[in-house]
Amino acid sequence: MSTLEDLQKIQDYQEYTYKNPGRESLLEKYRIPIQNFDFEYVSSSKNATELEKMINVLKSGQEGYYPELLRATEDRLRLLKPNSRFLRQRTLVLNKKDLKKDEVDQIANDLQKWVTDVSRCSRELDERKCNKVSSDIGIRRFEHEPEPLNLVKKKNDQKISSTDYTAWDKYDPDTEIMKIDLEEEKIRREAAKAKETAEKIKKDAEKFIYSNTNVTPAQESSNHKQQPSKKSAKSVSFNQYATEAEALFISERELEKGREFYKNGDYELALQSFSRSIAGKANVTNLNNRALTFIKLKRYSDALNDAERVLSIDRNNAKAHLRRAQAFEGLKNYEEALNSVEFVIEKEPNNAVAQELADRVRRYCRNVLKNTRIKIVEIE
Amino acid sequence: METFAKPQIICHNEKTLDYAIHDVKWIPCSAKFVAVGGKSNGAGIAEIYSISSDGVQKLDEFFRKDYFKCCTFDASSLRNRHLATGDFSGRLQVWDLEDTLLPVYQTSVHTAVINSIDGVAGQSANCGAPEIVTGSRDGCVMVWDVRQKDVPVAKFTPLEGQAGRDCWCVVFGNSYNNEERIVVAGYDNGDVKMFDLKTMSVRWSKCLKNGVVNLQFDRKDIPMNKLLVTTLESKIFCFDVRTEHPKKGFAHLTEKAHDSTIWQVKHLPQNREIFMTTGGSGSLCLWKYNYPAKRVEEDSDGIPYGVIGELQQLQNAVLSNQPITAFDWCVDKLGLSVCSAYDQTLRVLITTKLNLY
Repeated sequence: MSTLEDLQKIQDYQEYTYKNPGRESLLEKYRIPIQNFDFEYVSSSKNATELEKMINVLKSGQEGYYPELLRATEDRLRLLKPNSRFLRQRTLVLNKKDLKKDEVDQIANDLQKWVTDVSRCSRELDERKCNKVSSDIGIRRFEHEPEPLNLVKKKNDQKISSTDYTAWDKYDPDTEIMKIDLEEEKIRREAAKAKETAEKIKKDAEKFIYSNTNVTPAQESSNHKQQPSKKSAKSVSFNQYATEAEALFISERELEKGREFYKNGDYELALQSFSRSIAGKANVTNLNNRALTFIKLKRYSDALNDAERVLSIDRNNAKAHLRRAQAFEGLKNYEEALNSVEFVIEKEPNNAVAQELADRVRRYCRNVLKNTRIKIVEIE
Repeated sequence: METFAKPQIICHNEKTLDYAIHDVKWIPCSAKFVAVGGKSNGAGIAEIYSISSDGVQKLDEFFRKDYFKCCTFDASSLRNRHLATGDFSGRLQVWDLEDTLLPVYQTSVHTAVINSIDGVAGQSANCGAPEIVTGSRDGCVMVWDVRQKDVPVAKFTPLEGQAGRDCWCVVFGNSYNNEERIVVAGYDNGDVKMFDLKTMSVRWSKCLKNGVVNLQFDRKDIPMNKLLVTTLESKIFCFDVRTEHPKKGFAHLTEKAHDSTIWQVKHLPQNREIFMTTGGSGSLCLWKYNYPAKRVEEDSDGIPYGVIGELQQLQNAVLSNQPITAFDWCVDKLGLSVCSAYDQTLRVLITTKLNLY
């Protein structure tokens, strides 16, 4: 569909070619044959880079202005490479009058609800104001002043030019080789150190989980029985937040962090964040999330605990039932798993994960039956 | 489908003011924000605004002798919510917003304007002591603990004779437990320096071609993950700082946008993979970082190196014809943000559909 605007542009571009003669055009630079600028070619092309270049040529207007062809090329590229930078468009920030009435109302209502809620938290915080800065961590101290920074670019070691004989006389290949070896040794050491720190982060996260939650790993449970006093001392730190608002704030932030870690596959760190979130304020969401993380870490009985905790809050929480089923599957208790997953399917028939799990568990159940009863050989 | 799910940026409210706004920040756990700047008669001004569904109202204001350049709440607890400010004469001050007659804390060790300020560990537990870092035109980066008067707890100064260097931005990061902490500073000559506060040494350093205008970690209180750096001449650098290879360093990518200086980069507090950049031409770009299939690979010697993903542009919208120099997401409400531009206007923005990413 060509518009009046398009017609005007055609004229502009004609003037451009008239004014800039003799310069290498984009078409020449990219070496795209002119016959490729064709609706049929464009709509069947599979070469995204070429299409990007063609868009560049068409947008430059050096060959004239073809709005329909440009649109067709963009449409094709959108199919091949949706994230291409040549498809980025600049729009205007919307104003309230650009939106429909109900959209504006919805946004206003949503905002008003939030303002009321957050103002309540804010008042609570103001009432409990304390002007002291308290932290149980000491003020930072350092033994030596850090070295002054060199903020000017360093010059690279200059290469010895082939004709500089005096320099070559001084050059000792053996020491140079030794230097390279030392360098490599250093790199190897650094890499090992980096690996160590990465491991340590994971381990620390795990340690945190065990010290701050009421779940303990199987191998440590015997230790833990011997020191009941220590455990109870630690559980006091649960209510470390003086106000409800603070506890909620931390709970919310840690939940967000945990989700991000989980998405990236850092399950130990995710577990740490979810545990902190639960320590702030336990709710259905963070308990369900932690249950899922436990399942990923193959700690099924812990996952089961969390799922049960959700169910004690909300008897009909489908997600918790699903987690429960997954945990039971991990614990090889297929009967219970089947019971739970069937509850989920009843509530959410389109839940693909649940369906898959149900199929798997049913197969196991059948196998168990087969093993315990008379063996029936089916002939097909 | 794709176009319907795209986030939209909506301007909820606009307010034109009679002074130059240098920084805006939400007051955590409230529906209020502060704007700081300077009046044409040379006085510094800080104003507190509250928002509601139908508008923005001014609640309070206070004046001081010098222009305020930057401010942060991040080093203060939720119950105090003290505002730390840096001003044009190099003073760092911490204010109780209900009693602004005298600052709670004050130092004037910097000899020139404080360009940038950042705080850490105010609102989150288990990540060390609350600290403030300042970067100044005198080239110094100083770390402060409000429990210690007059002397910074850490100080990074340029070599003598290089006093001309200007530090444009500083941030905290990697503060995932009580010991570890990192400060990153960007300078006008394009240097980015990463200081390790645990060992008090430069951990990493890189020179980008253009002056470093702004930088930010995706989160401060996790093992450092991603560092975004914006520069003059419309470049965005994204470093994956999880894995450092002894030779290749950190994996990174470069992206061009805005066709002008990129003034700000701010990660969405609710989702670290999404961030907003603001440009000198008055445009806003919303980006999402997509991780590669495998983040860490091993080279032939078995040493791991990072693999960078890609940036996806979610939205590119024009708001003003002047540079947008300050931007802040609201921590408590997804999609709510406030920004200020050189046209002396405050704008409250709402970005929709961010929960879909």
